[in-house]
Amino acid sequence: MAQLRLGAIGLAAKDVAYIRALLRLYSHTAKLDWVFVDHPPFAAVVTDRAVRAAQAVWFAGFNGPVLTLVEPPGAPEADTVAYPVHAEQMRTWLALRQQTLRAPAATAPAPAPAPAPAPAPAAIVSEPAPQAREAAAPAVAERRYKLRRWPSPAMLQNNELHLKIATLLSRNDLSTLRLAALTGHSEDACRRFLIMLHQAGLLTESVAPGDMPGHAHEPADASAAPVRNGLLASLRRHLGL
Amino acid sequence: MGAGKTTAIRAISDIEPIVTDVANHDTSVAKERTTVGLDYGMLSLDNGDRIRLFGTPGQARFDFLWQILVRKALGLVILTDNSRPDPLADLAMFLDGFALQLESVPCVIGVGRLDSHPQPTLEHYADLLEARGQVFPLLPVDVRRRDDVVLLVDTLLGQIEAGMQLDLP
Repeated sequence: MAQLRLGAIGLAAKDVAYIRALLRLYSHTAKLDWVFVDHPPFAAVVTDRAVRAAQAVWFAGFNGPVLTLVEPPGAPEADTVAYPVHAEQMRTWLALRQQTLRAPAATAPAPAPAPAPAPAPAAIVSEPAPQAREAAAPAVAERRYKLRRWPSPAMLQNNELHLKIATLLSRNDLSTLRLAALTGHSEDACRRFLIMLHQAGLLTESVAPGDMPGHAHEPADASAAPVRNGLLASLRRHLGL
Repeated sequence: MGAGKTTAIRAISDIEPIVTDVANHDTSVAKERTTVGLDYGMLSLDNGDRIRLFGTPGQARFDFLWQILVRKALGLVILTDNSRPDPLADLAMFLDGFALQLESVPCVIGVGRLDSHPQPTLEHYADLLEARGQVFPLLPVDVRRRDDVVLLVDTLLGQIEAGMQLDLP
C-alpha cells in the first residue's frame, strides 16, 4: 500500500524541516505510514491560519485533511496542533487521519475518492514536474472557475494578465492549469488573481474531471480549432499584438 | 448612436471605411452626421484571410440589420456613449436585441466618453449585466485612439479563445 503523502503549505522552511524530520522519526518508531513530500498530490497538508485565509481558493479545492498550526492561547479544535509543533499531538493527528484515509470504502457514507491533489497555491510549494502532473491527472478532480460579474477597474489595475484572465473566465469555466496555458503565464500568477477575484466574491467554482488531453477541454469542433487558432494569431499579428 | 462606430472601424481598417452617414436630424444627439445603413471596413491578414468589420446603426429601428450581420460574426463589440441621456437603457436595448446570439457569440462592451461623463460608472454597467445574469468584458474606450480599439478587439479575441475551450457534451 502506498504511503500517505503529507505536504506543508506556506510554512517557514525551519518548520517544514522540523515536520519532515518528525515524519522520518515516526516511520521508525510508530505504525505511521506517512511520508513528507514537497509536491502534490497530497493526501493531507499542514499549514497555519494566516496561510489558510490567504489561500482560501486553494484550500476550498483541496479535499484532503488539513492540519492547522495554532499559536497559544488558541482553544483546542479539531485538526489543529499547537505551534511550535507539538510532536505528540502531531503523531496522534497523523494516526487518526491515517485510520480515516485507509478506512474501507464500504464503511464510508458515500464512495470516498482518494484525496484530490488540488493545484498548489502560489509561491508555497514548487510546481510538480509535468510528468508527475500527467501521471496524477486521471485521479484528479479539477477545480474550475468562472466569473459571475465583471471586476471593477480597481481590481483589473490596467494589468494585462488580469484583463486576460477576466476575459477568459467571463466566457468559460477554466482551471488554473488551462488559464496558464491560455495566458502564457505561470499557474502561480494566474492563481494570485483568482484569489483576488474569489475574495471579492466574483467567482463561481465547479469541479470537473482533470485537464486530460482529449477529455474535457478540447474544442467542440476539434478539427476547426487549429484553423481558428491560426486566424486569431494572424489577426493579432496584423494588429501588432 | 453617437458612440463612434465609424471612428472605431476607421482606427483599425486597412481600407478607408465605406460609410453611410447622413446629416443628423435627431436633436437629442449633438452630432452632425450619423450612420443610417452600415459602415464597412476590412483587415487583410498575412495568411490571405480577410476580416470584415461592420458597424450597424444604433437605433432600435435598425434591429433587422443586426440580425443579418451577426449571423456569421466571429464576435460582437457593443459601443455605448456615456454622454447619452440613459446609456444603461441603450445597453439593455442592445442586449435584448442580440439576446439569442449572445448565448453563443463572443461579445465585448466598450463605454465611450467616460472621462467627460463619469456617470454611470463601469460598476453600474456591471450591475446591469449581473442583474441579467450576463458577464461580458467592460472597457472604457476612446475610439479616436487606435490602442483603445485594438484592446477591444484583443479582448474579443480572448473571448473567442475561451469559447474554443467549451466542453464536449
